[in-house]
Amino acid sequence: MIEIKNLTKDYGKVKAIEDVSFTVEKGEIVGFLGPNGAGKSTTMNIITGFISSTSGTVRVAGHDILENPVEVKKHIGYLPEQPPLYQDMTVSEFLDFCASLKKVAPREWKSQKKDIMELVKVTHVSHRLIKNLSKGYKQRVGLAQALVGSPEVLILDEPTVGLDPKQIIEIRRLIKALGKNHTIILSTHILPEVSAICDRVIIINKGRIVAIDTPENLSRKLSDFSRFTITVAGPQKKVREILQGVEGVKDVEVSSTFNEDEASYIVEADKDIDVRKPIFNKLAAAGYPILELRSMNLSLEEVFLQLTTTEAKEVV
Amino acid sequence: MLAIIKRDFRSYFNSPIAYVLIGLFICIMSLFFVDSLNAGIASFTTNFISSMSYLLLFIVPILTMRSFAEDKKSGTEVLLMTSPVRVYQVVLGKYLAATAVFLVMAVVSLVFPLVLLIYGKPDGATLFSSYLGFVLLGMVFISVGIFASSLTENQIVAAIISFVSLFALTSISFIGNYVGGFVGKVLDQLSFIERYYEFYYGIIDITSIIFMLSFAAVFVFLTVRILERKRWSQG
Amino acid sequence: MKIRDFFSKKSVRYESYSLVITTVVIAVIVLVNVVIGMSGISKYVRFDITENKIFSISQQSIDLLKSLEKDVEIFILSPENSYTNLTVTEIIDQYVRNGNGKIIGPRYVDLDKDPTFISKNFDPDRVAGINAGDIIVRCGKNLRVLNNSDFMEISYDYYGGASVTGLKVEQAFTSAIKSVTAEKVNTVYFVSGHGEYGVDDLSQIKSSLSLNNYEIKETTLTAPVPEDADVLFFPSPTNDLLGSELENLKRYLENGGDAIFLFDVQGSLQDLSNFNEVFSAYNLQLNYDLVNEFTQANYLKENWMIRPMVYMSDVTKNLNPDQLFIYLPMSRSVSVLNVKKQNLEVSLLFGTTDNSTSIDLNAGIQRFGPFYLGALSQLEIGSANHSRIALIGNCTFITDEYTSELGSNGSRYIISILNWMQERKDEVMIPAKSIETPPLNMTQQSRILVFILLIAVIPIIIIGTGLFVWIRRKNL
Repeated sequence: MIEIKNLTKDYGKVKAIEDVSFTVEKGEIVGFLGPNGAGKSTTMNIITGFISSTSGTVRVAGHDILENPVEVKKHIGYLPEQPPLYQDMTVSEFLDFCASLKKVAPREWKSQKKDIMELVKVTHVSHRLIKNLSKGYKQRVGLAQALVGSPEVLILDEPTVGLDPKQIIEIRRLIKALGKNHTIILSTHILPEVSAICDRVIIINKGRIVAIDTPENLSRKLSDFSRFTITVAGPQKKVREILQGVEGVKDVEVSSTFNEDEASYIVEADKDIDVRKPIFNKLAAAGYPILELRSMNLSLEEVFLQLTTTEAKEVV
Repeated sequence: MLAIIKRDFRSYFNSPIAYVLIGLFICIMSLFFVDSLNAGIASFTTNFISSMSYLLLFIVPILTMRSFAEDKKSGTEVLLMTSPVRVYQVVLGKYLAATAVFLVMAVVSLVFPLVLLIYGKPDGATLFSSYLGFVLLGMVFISVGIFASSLTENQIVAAIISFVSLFALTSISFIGNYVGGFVGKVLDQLSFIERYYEFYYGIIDITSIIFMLSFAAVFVFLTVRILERKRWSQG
Repeated sequence: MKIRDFFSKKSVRYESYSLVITTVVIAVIVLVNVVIGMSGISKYVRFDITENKIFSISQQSIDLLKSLEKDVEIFILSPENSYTNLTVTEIIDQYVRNGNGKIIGPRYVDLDKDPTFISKNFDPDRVAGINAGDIIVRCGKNLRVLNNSDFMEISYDYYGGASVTGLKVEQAFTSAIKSVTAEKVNTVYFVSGHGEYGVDDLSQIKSSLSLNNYEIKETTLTAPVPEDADVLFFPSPTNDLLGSELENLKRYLENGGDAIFLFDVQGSLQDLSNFNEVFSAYNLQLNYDLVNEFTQANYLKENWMIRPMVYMSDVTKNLNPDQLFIYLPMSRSVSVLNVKKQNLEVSLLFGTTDNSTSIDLNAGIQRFGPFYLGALSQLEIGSANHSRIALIGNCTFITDEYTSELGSNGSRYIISILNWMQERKDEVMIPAKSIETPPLNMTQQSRILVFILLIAVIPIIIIGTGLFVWIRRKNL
C-alpha cells in the first residue's frame, strides 16, 4: 500500500531524514516511534505531499507522490501534529468544507458525515465553533477531518499528544477500531502506545531508521545482548580462545587492535544465555582484565531510554 | 477550488471584517459623492473617482492579509496542500474569494450611480466603464495583496507589505513623469491609475483590460510559485 | 559533492526547473503586453463609449481623411508625459487611425530640451507667438497652429459670465488639415482707409477666419482690387468712398467679386451715398438710424442690445440660432428696395420683432418695426458668374471688445457668409460636442435625505448586520 524508498530530506546541510525505506501493507497499523526531532513529522509530511523530499520515492496505492500528487492525496487522510482546523467554523461547516475539498459526492457525504461524527463522538458539538472546543474535541475533529472521504490510508502525527489519560485511551481505542478498515501510520514518542495499537513499529532516531519489527520482537530485542564489543588487555590469540570457549558464544571477531596487548572484539552470543559473567570469570582467571564491555544495539537502546523517560514524565 | 472560494467567502462574511470594510467604504465615498449632489450634476466627480482608487489602497491589504497568512499560522495550510487539489487551485480559490468580496462591495456601492439615475439622466455608458475600471483595478490590487499574504504568516506584516507595494505601484506614474525617457515610458505603461482614469473618461481600451488582467495573473502565478517553493525548502 | 550529483539532486532540479518556468511565464506575459503596447493595436481596440462621443471624429472628418493625398504632420509642443489633454490625444489618434498613413504623428517636442526646433523647422513669421503646449499641423510649407482656446466652445450666460460648454477639438483639426492641404486658399481682403476698425480691434475674427482656411490680407481701394481677392471685408467704414475707390469697387463687383459690409451706428452724420449706390445695385439700402427692440426675449438689459431674429437662408441653414445666439449692440437698419430687377436675389439675415423702433439720427423721426438688420444679395452676371454681398447694420459684434465679453458666435455667422460666397459646401459644420454634465434634479430636502441615507443609514445597516452575525456566531 505504501512504499518508501531511500527517502532523504536536507535543510541545507542538516539532514532531517536520511535514507529512510519501508513498506506498509494494506490493513496494517504501523507505529512510527522516535524521540522529538527524530524525523517522524518530516517523513509524514513527505508521504502526504505537503513537503517534498530531496531524494527518494514515495508510492501510495501504486502512485508516485511527485508524478501524481492528486491521486496519492485522494488515498490519504492526514492528521498533522497541529490539527488543521479553521477556528471560525463550526464542526459541521468544517467537515462539509473538507468533504467538498476532497470531492466526496454530496449524496454519500450525508451518511458518511453522520458516521464519522458518531465514530469520533463529536455529534453533540457539531454546531459549535471549533475555537470554543476543548483540546480533546479539537483533536477529535482533526481526526474526523482525516476520515472524510474514507481514505484507504490514514496518517496520524502524534494523535494523542496533549490529551488527558482518559482521552488518550479513547483515541487509542478509536484508532484500533479504524485499523480494521484503513491502513494506518501513526507517529508517537510514547512506547506503550505502540504496543497498545500497532502491528508493526518503525523506530527512527536522528533521521535514520533504527529498527522495524513487531512490538513483541522489539521488546525482546531490547533485553538481548546478543552482540557486544569487549576490549581486553591480553594477547589476541589467547583472549580469542578464552572467549570462544565460553558456553553460548557463537563467534568472536577482532574489530580493532590498539597495541600488542590490547584489542577490541565483537562477540556474538546466544540470545538466551547471558555470557557476560562467564566471560568475566574466565578472563579474570587467565589474568586478562576487561577494559570495556558495551552493547552494540546502543542506538536502539538509546531511543528506548529516551522514550521511556519521556513517557514516565508525561504520565506523571 | 469552488470549495475554497466558498469557504473563504463565507469566512469574510462570518466575521465582521467584510461588513466593516464595505460599510466604511460607502460612508467615506459618500463624503466625496456630496460634491456631485451639491453641484447638482449627474456624474461622478474626478475627486470621487480618485478617492475610490485611494481607498482601495487601504481596503485591499486588509481584505487579503488573512488569505494565506492565517492558514499558515493555524496549520490549515497543511489541510489544503494535502487535499487532492492543485496548488494553483488553492491560490486561485483564495484570489477569487477575495475578489468576490470586493465585487460585493462594488455592487453595494452601486447606490451612488443609483442616486444619479433616480434624480437625473447620467451617461450610463461612462458610469459603466468607471466601474469596469474600478473592478479591474481592484483585481490587480488583490493579486498583489494575495502575493504579500503568501510571504509571511503574520497578517499585519502581510498587510503592511501589500500596502507599501500598492502605494509604490500607484506612485509609478508620478515617478515615470519625473524620470522621463525610456524608463519613464516603461513606468508609464505600468500606471494603473492612468488606465483607470481612462475608463472613467469613457474610453474602453481592450489592451488596458488585457494588461491589467495579465498583471493580476502574474501575481497569482508568483504566489503559486512561492507556495510550491516552500514545499521544497521548508518543513 | 560532484557537480553531476549536485544536478541530479531532486531539489536542485526542481529549483532550476521552477526558475525557468517562472521566468518563461513572466517573460511571455510581459512580451505579449509589450508587443500589444508597441504594435499600435491599441488604437483599434479602443472604444469611445461616451454619450457625446467626445473622443471620436465624425464621418465628415473621416471622409476628408480618405481623400487626403499629401502627408500631414502633427507636432505637439510639449513633452509626452506632461501633455495631459486626453481629448486632444484621443482625437489625434482617431485622425492617425483613419488617415491611411497620411496623418503622421503626433510627434512630441520638448522645447526645453530642443529650443531651436521651431526656428529650424518652421517659417518664423508664421509661428510668431507660439507657445509651449500648442499644436502645429503641417503639410509641406503650409502650417496651422492650434491651441487650447481653439478646442473649447465658450458660452455666455444672460449676465455675460463665460463657461466652457463644449469641445470642438475635431473642428479645429479638420479645418486645420483642410487648410494646410488646400491647393488654393481663399483670400479675404480687409479694407481700410475709411475709418474702419483696425487690426487691433479684430484679432478674434481674423484668427477665426484663418482657422477656417481664409488667408487675410489688407488693402485700400485707392488701387484696383488685387486679382487674388475673393472677398472684400469692410469692418464699419465711417467715411464714404472716393470716386476712384467707388470705381475700383464697382469694377471688382461687376467681375463677380464678393464683399461683406458691416456698419456701426455713427455718432455724426456722414454721407455714405457712394456706398449706398453700390448697395442699390443689389436692392439694398443702409439707413442712418438706431434701432431699439422692445420684446423682452430679444434684447439684453438695454433695448439697443438686440438679440436679432435669424432668418432661414443658405447662410444660416447650418447654424442653430438657438444655440448660436448673438447680440447686436447699437444697430442700424437695412432696407430692401422694391425695384424689380432680374438676376437679383435678396435674402434676409437678421431682423427685429414688430415691437421695435428706429430713430433716424438725422431727422429724429421715429419709425416702428419690424426692421431688417442684415441682408444678403446675389447678382447674376452672365450665365456662369455672380456677385454676392452681405450688408449688416452692425460691426461691434465681431470686435475683440465685444467677443471677450459676450462670445465669438458672431464670427460663426461671418464665416458662414464667407462660405456661402465661396460656395464651400463641405465646410466644417460639425457641431461642438457638449461637455455639460446632465443635471441632477433634487430638492434641497431630498439632497439632505439622500446624503444621510448614504453616509449613515446604509453603512450602519451593513456594519450592524456584521456585528449581529459576529456576535451570534461568537458563542456558538
